[in-house]
Amino acid sequence: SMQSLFVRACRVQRPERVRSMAFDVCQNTPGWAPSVGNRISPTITLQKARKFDEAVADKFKASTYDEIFKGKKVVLFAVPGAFTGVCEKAHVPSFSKNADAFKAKGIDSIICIAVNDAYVMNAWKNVLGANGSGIDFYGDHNAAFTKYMKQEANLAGAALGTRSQRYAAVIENGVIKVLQVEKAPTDLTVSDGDSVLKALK
Amino acid sequence: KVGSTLDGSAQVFQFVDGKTAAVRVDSIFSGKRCVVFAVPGAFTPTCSSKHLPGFVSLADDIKAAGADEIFCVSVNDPFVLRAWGEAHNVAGKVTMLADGGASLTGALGMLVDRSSNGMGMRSQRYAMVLDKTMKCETFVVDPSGAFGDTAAEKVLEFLRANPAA
Repeated sequence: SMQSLFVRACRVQRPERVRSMAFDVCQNTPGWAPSVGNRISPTITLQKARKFDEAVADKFKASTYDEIFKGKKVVLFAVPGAFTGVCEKAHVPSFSKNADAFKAKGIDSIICIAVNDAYVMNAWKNVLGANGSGIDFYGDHNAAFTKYMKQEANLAGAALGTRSQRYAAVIENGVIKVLQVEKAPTDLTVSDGDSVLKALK
Repeated sequence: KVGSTLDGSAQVFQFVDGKTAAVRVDSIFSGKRCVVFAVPGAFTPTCSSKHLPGFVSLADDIKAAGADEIFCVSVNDPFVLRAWGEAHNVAGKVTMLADGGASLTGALGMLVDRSSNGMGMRSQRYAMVLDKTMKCETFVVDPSGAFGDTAAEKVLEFLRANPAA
């Protein structure tokens, strides 16, 4: 049985190995998706928004789970696309205007992700200016994180291809405490800054 | 490539009445002598600092030398490409064609894997001139990382040396 497999694994494997085995099982279970109470896999990576030249200098190094989530209280929100309407005009500003309020509740960082490359995210951050202040932007360029979270959205109809659903999460030391996903990528009712602030205890 | 006719059924994305739409390239290119150049990615250095700006500043000369329209193709979505174009004041000079689904890029055999650069499947850097029947008059590719043969100045030289038939 699965349970006895894990019991035996715990006896002979290191905890990190057991955890990653558990992730593999969960990830491959149809219908399962990371949700409140689950820990984010320590193998996830994202590309920090920066200029292409900076990426060349750091050899396109990805940011790791340890750098982003370990030991931190993180608010993460995902948008379908940089430079698109709702994302730009409403979703991002709803977090930047609440940056101080989040800090007061003990949040260490607010991060915005989208299935775009890091250089597009960087350009978008610059265009957003004050509307994006207090937010760290990351590119999930190959949708690996989005697929891990089981939050892919097929937006081929909007000329965007595979993107992320619109959602927001509060993640404490890697554990999902809050996860609010919009019913449709064009909605903005539960994943905006005010809603997430309310959800924070 | 030179002498062959482009497959008009390839599609790119444009904004039509403010919404994104997939458009066949024959409806865009046919009947015009077109300069088409491609970049690996919006907001990346060479593309931004040299390739696109070169065509913007020489747009009038290129049109005076016999081109009807200049197109910039990239495997990006139309929102990103529109923002990049606006940042470079392309209005009236260069038309951006978002080949988000890599349909045109694939049809030209110009798809290349840039995952190691954090970018996924992209276009190689090329420049071509299509006559009014979408037959290819010239097709030049810059090897990865290089920039030179596909520059606006080179295209202008070709047009001046090869007036329309």
